[in-house]
Amino acid sequence: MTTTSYDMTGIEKVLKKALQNKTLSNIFFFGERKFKEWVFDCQSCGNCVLSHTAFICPMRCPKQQRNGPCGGAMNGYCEVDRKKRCVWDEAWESAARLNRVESLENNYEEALDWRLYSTSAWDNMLEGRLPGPSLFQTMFKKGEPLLIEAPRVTFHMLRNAFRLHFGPSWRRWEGRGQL
Amino acid sequence: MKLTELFKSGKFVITAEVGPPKGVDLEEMMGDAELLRGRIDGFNVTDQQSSVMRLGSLAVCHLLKQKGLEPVYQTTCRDRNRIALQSDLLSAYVLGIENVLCLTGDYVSLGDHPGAKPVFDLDSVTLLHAAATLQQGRDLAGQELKGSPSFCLGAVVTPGANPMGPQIMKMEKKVKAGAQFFQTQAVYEPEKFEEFMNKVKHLNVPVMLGIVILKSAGMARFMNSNVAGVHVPDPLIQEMEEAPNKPRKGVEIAARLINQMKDMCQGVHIMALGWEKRIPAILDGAGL
Repeated sequence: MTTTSYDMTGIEKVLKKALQNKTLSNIFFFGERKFKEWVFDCQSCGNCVLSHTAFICPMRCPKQQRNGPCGGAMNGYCEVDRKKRCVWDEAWESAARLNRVESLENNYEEALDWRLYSTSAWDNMLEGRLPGPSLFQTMFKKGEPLLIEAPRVTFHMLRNAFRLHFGPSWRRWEGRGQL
Repeated sequence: MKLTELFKSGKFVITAEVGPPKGVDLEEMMGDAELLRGRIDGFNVTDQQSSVMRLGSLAVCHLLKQKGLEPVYQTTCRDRNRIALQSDLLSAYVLGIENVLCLTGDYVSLGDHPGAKPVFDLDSVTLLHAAATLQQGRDLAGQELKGSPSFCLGAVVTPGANPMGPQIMKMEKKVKAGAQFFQTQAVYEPEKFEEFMNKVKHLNVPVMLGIVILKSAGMARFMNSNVAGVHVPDPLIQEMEEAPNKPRKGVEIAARLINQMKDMCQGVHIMALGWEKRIPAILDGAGL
């Protein structure tokens, strides 16, 4: 018996039914992982808060701060590796561009449940292991016309992904700390 | 004695930092603390400051309390997970410690054990939330406690952060999670401090100005390039360069800064970095 702790949209209900098929779910979750790693540098925490942080993954921070920056950011760069941007300063800029500064300010993120580490966040959401509303529901900001919001979100996601892959970044294989 | 009681009574609260030694010889540290008895309201005991392994904050806080000096237990998220952090908070309470400062902590690579595993299970906001939850008789897992502690919770903020927006956002989250007072990173520019205090006025929470004693012009320049959120303006660096007696100049500048900014805040936190013996002179100069 599966439970959900939020009101699912129609699409999510269909998706959940479809994912009961083993082959489909393998393909889907493989795709989720590759997409999120490529676009957001997802660290597989299993407890995604990307829609709160304007699509900048806070787990890329060396201290994995989920509630805001530490006191070590120097002019937008991190004290741990001075060539790399402070993840929360990036989130602040991204929130200004996407008109989501209140979601950055008003969301208190609980301490992470490490049992969910290395699991699929979308699966955790659909199976009710995480409180809603889901990322799917919050991807486009409510109150904004979809014709403006959808291209804007897509553009900025691609822009962030581009910046991830060109220039110093907290990508997993680039390491943390001064070597 | 909780610092919040002092803030409520309208007193200008003074705290100083006491750094535990790298080892077990406490003579010098206790001697410095003894010099300040009666002059200051609380002794901040740092927790592996700059990620350098030292004697623990909990032990030193207990020893200070035994001597009748009021400690402020600084606890960081770098080295312990939520189980140990909650346990240490309970331990602090039974050892008589009432004031707790909750910090995220410097990263391990900044210290002398750079290969250590960083923990950061909680951050400063969730740690404040955990301490507030313990006070209500439950732990983070929702289990009931057999007897609950009572703390005065503090946190840190950097007025000189650039950009300022994210710092203020985090400060608001800390207040919502339970922070009852703040200590700031070192400030050397009264105008910037005034701007910062205006921006956080709406939070209605006591803020203690942070002062680091300048030891030389070289130290000022080092802080400008290497310490986040601290900016020593050129006129002060010039003054330090030209001064014949550096320690006296450093003390004079510290006292002057306190005088300029004491009306904007509710207290001062002095970080002497080894020069604890000069703190009485600074307090004299600032009229405190």
